[in-house]
Amino acid sequence: MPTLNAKILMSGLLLLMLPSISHSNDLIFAVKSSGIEPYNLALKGAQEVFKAKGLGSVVKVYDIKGDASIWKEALKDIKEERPKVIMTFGTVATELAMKDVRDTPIVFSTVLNPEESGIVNSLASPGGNVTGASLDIPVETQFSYILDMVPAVKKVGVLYNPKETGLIVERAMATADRMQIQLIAEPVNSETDLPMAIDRLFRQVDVLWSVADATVFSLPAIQKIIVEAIRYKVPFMGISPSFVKAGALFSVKWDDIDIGRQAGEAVVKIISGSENISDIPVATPREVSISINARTASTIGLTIPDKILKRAEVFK
Amino acid sequence: MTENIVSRFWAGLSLVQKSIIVGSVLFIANAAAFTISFGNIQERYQINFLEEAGTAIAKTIGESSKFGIITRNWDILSAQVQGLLTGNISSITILDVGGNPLFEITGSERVVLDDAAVRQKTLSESPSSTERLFDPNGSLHAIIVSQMIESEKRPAREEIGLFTEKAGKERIGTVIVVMNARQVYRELAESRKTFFYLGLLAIAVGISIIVIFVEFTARPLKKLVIATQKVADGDLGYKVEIDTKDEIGTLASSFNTMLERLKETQEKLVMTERLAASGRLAADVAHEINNPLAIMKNYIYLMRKKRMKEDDPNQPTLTIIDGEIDRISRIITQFTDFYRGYQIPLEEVEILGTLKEVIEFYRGKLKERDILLEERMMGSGKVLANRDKLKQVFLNLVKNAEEAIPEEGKIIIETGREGGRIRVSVTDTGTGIKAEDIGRIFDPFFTTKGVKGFGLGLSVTYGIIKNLGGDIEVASEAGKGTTFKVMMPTI
Repeated sequence: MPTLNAKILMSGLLLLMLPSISHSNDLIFAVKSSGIEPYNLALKGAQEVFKAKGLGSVVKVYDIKGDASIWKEALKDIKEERPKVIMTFGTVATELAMKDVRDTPIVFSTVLNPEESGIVNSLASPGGNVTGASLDIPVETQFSYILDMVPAVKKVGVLYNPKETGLIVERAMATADRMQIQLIAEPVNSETDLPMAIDRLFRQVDVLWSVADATVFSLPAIQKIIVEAIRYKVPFMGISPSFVKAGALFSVKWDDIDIGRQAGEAVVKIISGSENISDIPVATPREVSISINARTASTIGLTIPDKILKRAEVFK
Repeated sequence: MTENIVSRFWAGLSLVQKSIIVGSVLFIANAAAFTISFGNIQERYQINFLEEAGTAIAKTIGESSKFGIITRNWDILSAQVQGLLTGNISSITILDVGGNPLFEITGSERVVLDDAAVRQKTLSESPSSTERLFDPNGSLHAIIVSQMIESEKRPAREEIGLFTEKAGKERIGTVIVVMNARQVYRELAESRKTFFYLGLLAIAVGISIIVIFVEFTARPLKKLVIATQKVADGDLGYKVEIDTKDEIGTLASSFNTMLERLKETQEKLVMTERLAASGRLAADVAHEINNPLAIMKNYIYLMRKKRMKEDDPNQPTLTIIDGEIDRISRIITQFTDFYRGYQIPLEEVEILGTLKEVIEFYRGKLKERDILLEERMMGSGKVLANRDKLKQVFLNLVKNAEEAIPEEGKIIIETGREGGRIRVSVTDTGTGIKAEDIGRIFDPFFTTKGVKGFGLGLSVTYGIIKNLGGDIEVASEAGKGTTFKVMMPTI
């Protein structure tokens, strides 16, 4: 028989445990695909928003290092503590979270081409329990940068794997038509196709555009494409400033922190209950600028218009 | 019972047969042990080889099949896998990450696997595994090798732009290679059969070699056996002809030496027998002659005293006849004395004293003949003998020496001790004895002195010495002289 004292002590313990259970619904968990800088910057941007809106900071941050088994650990916590929103950074974390979590809103950031990856139905109405901030800069914006850099451009080439980025290229064709540019798309089904494709394409185009295609842009292939573009004196528009640093002529550029801010804003909307997650469209970069590699420009003999040079980030 | 039969059988075998049986049994045991252990090693080696081959094939497919799996291109996959299909492979199956079969190719003999177990393998975390499947009777029937197929992880889209480092690997499927162990066992059985026949051949050759070796080794032994049989049959002149340098050669030469000794001993024995027999015969004859001699002497006495006058011209003739009868009688007495020697009571006799008595008795005669006498008395001792007989021995020897010296010369009388015996030798510088006569000088009635001697002196001497347990030897060289050596055991 428990004594009276014991009963009092046990009730006290139960009372102490109650608050921790009750406020779990205010939690925000952040899951990063890996520890790279763009994810960290985006998280920083989101924290800024939370602070400004008086929400406090994200309670728990997981770095799953691209490993599904680490995600399982995070998932255990998520199921126990039931956060109100899960923020994901990068495609890997987003896809894992979407697969295992159906009843908690997931807000992603730093994801490229979420439509083509199947993360969202469309940027305008993502559907399900997912929304976020993508890195997709509209093709039209990208093409207008091409026109700025090379005003005389007629033929723009692109290397792509139809299975992977066929949809993007198809849409880009229409955009190009509208802008009176001829987009020549060279399919690459495997890495072995690449040398022939480069040779064929580079002989006939004025500018090389790019889509985020894993078949085309494997790490060794990136180097090869950059080198060949310079040898053929084809201005190459890379996917990101990293390409430019490596030798591509130019690329459009987004602000990593601002991407995080955009995602953070979506989280605020969900927590405040002002909007339903399915009504929140996927944000795209609002601050776009251009990166230019001056050395490549001089090697291929291209003079960059002053008005672009002024607002560009220039690698020398 | 069986033991009896075996031991009787064993006892009935020749040494050669025993050697061949023992050698053959050892050889067969050796060959059997070698065959069995070689078979086991071969089996282990073959199975390990099968397992290694399976692992290598699985790894190769794991590497080469990525493209075909990712692109679901069965033509390419089939071509790649078909090229690796060997007789030992039962099946090659490629499964997707979920364990669903994508592609399968079977070899000559399919081993049916438990689908659930296979699925389990494809879901396991380990990159590769090997399992041996056994029949209910315990024999290995298959080796299952599973190998995870991994591919470079495809980077996320934003990662292409972000230039992230390697994306790592991800599992895209599993290849399961089933190696057919039955084929190995069949090959093993085949090779065991070959090995068995080779073993039989080796045993046949080995036993032949053993037989030939034993025969060669035993050939001199057989010669020895024949030799012993010949010797047993009395042929002491037989000689074993073995010139090998081994132990048997040594044995044969020892055997030959032994035969020679045996022959010598036997010859001596024969001579001794002959001497004894002829001595006894002579004594018997002499005894029979004594009676008529006594009668003859009696009648001569009667004739001379009663029928003849003192001056009868026949008196001298009868004196001669009487003298000759006396002479015959003396010879007979000597013989009967010799014959009776066995019964003569023995006493302790001091050798040197006896010898000196004889020398003193003879000294005058030697001086008369200008024969030098040298005495070298180096030892003495008492012997069990009859003084008179012993005196007779010495007297005979000295007399013999004196008679051997034609004109002048020297006689050396020597004594000494050798072990437990006393030695007395008498040497003269006389005519010596011819080599062909030396073996017969102790024979009764053998003499070199012509009519002067009866040929009994030395044979009597020989008889006395032998009866007293002593030995007498002679050494002589014609023209230089003779030495008689008497050895007597001392008390």
